[in-house]
Amino acid sequence: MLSIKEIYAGYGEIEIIHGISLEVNQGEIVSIVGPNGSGKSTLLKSIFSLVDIMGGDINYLNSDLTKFTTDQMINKGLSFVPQTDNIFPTLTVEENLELGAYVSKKKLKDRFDLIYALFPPLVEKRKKKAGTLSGGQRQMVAFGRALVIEPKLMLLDEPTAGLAPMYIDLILEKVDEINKTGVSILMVEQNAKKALAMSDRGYVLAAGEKKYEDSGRGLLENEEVAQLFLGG
Amino acid sequence: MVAQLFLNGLILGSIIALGAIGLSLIYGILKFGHFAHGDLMTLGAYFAFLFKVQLGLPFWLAFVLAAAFTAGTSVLLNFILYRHLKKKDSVIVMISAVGAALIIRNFVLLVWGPQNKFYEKAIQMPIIIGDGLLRIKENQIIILVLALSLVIAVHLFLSKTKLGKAMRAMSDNIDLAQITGINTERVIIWTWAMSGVLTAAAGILLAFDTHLTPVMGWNLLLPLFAAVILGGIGSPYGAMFGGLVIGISQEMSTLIISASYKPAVAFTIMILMLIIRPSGLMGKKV
Repeated sequence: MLSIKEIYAGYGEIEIIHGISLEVNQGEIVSIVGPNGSGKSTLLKSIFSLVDIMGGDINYLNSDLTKFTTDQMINKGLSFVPQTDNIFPTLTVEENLELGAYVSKKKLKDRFDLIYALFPPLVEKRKKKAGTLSGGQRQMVAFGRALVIEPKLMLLDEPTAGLAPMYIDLILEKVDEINKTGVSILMVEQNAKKALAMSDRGYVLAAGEKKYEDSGRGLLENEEVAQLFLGG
Repeated sequence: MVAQLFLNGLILGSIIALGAIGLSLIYGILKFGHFAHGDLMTLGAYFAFLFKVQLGLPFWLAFVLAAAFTAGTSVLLNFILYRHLKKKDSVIVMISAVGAALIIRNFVLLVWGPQNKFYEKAIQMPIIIGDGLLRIKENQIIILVLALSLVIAVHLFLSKTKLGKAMRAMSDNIDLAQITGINTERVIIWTWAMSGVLTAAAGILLAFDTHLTPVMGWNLLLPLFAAVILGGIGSPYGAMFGGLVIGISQEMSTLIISASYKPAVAFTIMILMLIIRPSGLMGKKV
């Protein structure tokens, strides 16, 4: 459903991604791992046109994604969860979810029920300001906001970054649960081993280039990858 | 005496609150202090003078037309000036706003002259309540009712409508607002329009209470900023609350110090707030 060919991207004059190709098929969880500064997040942001694209093609559901505006991407079922600042802190949990559907005309009620079923702790906090929630609960709000539009593909930028250990497994479990409802996932993750273990496929990036590409299990069992990128 | 000063403070505070809401939203969304806000207030008041006194329209119609014209001016300012400065250093934008303020003030001077003006010349006898405890003029009752209605309207707009929520969301986190698909350019235009309406209302009500002078808005700029900072930059509810606190404190301060120090009260509150809690009472953490 998503196919990136030879993409070059960065900020202004500075090129960070040097010709990477990547694919996500319907129903897959795909992880992008690699050391700090390898360009993982930049690659993910380039899909959503949040960085400057200098060359290459991004094709999503048979359309050229680089020509889409943000609301067009959202209406095509693509949603993005940023790593930091991914909620509206002075708005209530419910208002955060409502804004997730800003460009969509779908009925909210059913989607809200689904999101509250997925993240039960949010139910009693629905009228609370999102900024008063714990880190893990904020992440649930961020996921919820991106889920309201009934996405086909979710882009997750380091969903467990900065979370307490008890929440890391919980959030990754939720990613798996979301995927089982038919949503494809492309995520950048620092907990590389955990991410690859749950992924259908994975990509290892270093210095803005793709170094390895295999099934999640394949990458975990690859000794070279383990030694260089997964801490032995 | 105390009750009277409180009442006077409430009137001034509700006027400041109206002006501060727009200033705070613009500060929150566009990240700069809009120094021409006070002069837009003046312009709004003079627009109402044009419609009510010079053209002889009824007060309510003059009020609506002046609000619409000031909203138009705000949107125009954004279109010809601020829109082009978005990526520039905030100091440049701030200085441009001071330039816009000078242009507006001199426009008012050019068209209406430097003399004080009045919406109506007749002297109003105050209504005396509780054996002289409180004296309130009919105009002041109208000001309180109008200001309160507008604040309630703004609250309903911000909390119930999609556009209002988008404004608050943008003030919170503009990058996320963009990722969410909010048409930020459109929301910015509406923010200018809304702040124009509220600013005009503040100017008209201030002139309705006293008189019109070309520096009326400029003189109120400091209390406006104090209200925004007290409430928390970007928080419209904070601005409403901040406006009331600043207005009431300014008036009540005359119990202990000379009335000529009123502006210093706003300044003191602003500085204390910046030292103790720079994020304001209802703002995000900074």
